[in-house]
Amino acid sequence: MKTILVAEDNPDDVWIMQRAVKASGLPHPFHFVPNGREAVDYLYGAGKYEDRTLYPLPSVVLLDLKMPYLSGLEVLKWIRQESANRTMISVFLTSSSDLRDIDEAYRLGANAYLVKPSELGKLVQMLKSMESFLLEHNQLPS
Amino acid sequence: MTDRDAELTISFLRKAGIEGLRCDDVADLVAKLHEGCAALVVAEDALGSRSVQTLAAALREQPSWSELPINLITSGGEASIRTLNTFSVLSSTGNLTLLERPFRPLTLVNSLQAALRSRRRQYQVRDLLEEREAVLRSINDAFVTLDSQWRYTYANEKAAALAGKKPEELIGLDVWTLFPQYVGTRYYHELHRALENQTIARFEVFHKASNRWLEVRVYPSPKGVSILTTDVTDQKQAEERLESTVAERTLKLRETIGELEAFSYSISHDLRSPLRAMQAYSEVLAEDYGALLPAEGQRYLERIAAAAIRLDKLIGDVLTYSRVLRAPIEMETVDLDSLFSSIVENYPTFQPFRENIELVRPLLPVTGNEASLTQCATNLISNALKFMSPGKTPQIKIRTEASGDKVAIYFSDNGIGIAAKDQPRIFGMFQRVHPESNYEGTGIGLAIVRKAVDRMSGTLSLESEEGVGSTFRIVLPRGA
Repeated sequence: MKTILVAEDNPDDVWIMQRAVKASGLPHPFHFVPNGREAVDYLYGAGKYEDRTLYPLPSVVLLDLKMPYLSGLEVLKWIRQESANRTMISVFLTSSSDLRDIDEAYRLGANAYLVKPSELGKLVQMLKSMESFLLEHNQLPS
Repeated sequence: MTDRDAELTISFLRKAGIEGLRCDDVADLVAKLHEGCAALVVAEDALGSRSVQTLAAALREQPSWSELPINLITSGGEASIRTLNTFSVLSSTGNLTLLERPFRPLTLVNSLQAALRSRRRQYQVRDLLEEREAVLRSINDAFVTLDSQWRYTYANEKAAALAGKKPEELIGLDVWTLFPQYVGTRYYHELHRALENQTIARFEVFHKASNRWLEVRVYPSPKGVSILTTDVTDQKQAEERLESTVAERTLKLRETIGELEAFSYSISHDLRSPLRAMQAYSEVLAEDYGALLPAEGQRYLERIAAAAIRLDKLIGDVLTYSRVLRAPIEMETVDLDSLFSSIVENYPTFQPFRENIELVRPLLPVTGNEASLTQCATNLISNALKFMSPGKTPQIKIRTEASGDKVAIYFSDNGIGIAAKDQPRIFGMFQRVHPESNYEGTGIGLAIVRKAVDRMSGTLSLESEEGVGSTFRIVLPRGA
């Protein structure tokens, strides 16, 4: 079992994600944080996230682009430069298909960039193929 | 001259074709001189020493072109002191001929004819000078000529006014003595360079005293330089106004573009998010509670989902349009044979119609942008497949034709066609000519094609007949 951390501020999107996770039947626990600052807290193990039995270090971080306090790009910048887990698999899951966002994300070291599909069924498909590629076939760093 | 002598002379001259006018005294003569006179006949005995001075003063006031011929009739015999005096005063001011009494009338006619010939030449010079003055005045430019020692040889009124003098006062003056403040300035160096190198100089200077911008042109000759100075202040101010207007508008335009980019970014991120929620919730509602809804309720739910999908497509097309608008375009040779084949083979919605899309090979290469051409081809083929009469089999033909250094790409279909009255507006944003209930679409597809062709500096045109089909033509430079 591998933990997946999802940083997403929009409650509707959180709900949709949870619904899609359930529909996908994936065995992995998905943890949700509502903004970039809490994503950093979680990865750092600060405050309530100190307890790694409750909040295990994730294998994959899914980041929204636009979030309060710290944007997804800023969280990624922190992961790549400051954190103890600078090789953390970091994937954007966002509604922006703007080329400048995509380029900036890769420039900062994103491992993948996914655009949120508008239909639930497609999101389920996307989660399944991501899990299959990243967590099943892919070899993760130690 | 006595009255009788004068009358006789005038009548004799008239017979010879010369019109004479008698003057009572020197004051009368000076007044008549101002009205115009080709030659003067004066009897010495009619002039006192004071009147000689008056006449000489009047003659000195002649314009530069004028040298009035004077025939002075003397009494003959030994020249008196008075005669010598009159002669010396008048000869210094003009073109004096002495006629000694007694003389035959023909001698006077002969002498006057020579005088009139000389006067006619003077009039020609006067006319030329006036013409030059008029030209120079009409161009409203200051014009001066300087000799190789930098002395004025000519100045028109405008130039003299700039120096605060009359034109004739400038003649012979050294320009650098008159304007010592210009010595060593750009003006000074440009003039020297023009004279030394015998090359035309053209430059602009700011004249502080009059607060004017002057454009100076210097035309050299071995004898000196001619300088034409034009007041370009108005032109300069107009240019400055134009520049500042352009700068202002550019700034506003940039702001607008910035706002538009922020807007399209917002569309891509913020507007799509609630839309996605609508889609997901209606989907989940149908999944979880669909069974509880009566048939009509389920239909409403389907309508909500369909509307959301349509809005999603609309947003997608607006985004594509704005991307086509601002994405940098690199022009390169595009192999249409392979590009269009791969579009027809691989584009998911075209696959069922692969047999209906004919590529007339070889398709000629064009100079264009691959991404833009892909956009054009997919939009035009999609339209051709979409706007089809029910029950008819689509037949789409894509071919190219060379014409000079250009290549025309034709996309022809056997669809429903576009009425002539609708053709002018179909390339506009959000333009639809067919009812939405029959043919679904966002009304942006052809606007994207037009913009993409524009960005490649190509031309796009349409030939269509309602019920028969349409042919879209894109003309681009031939590829290498």
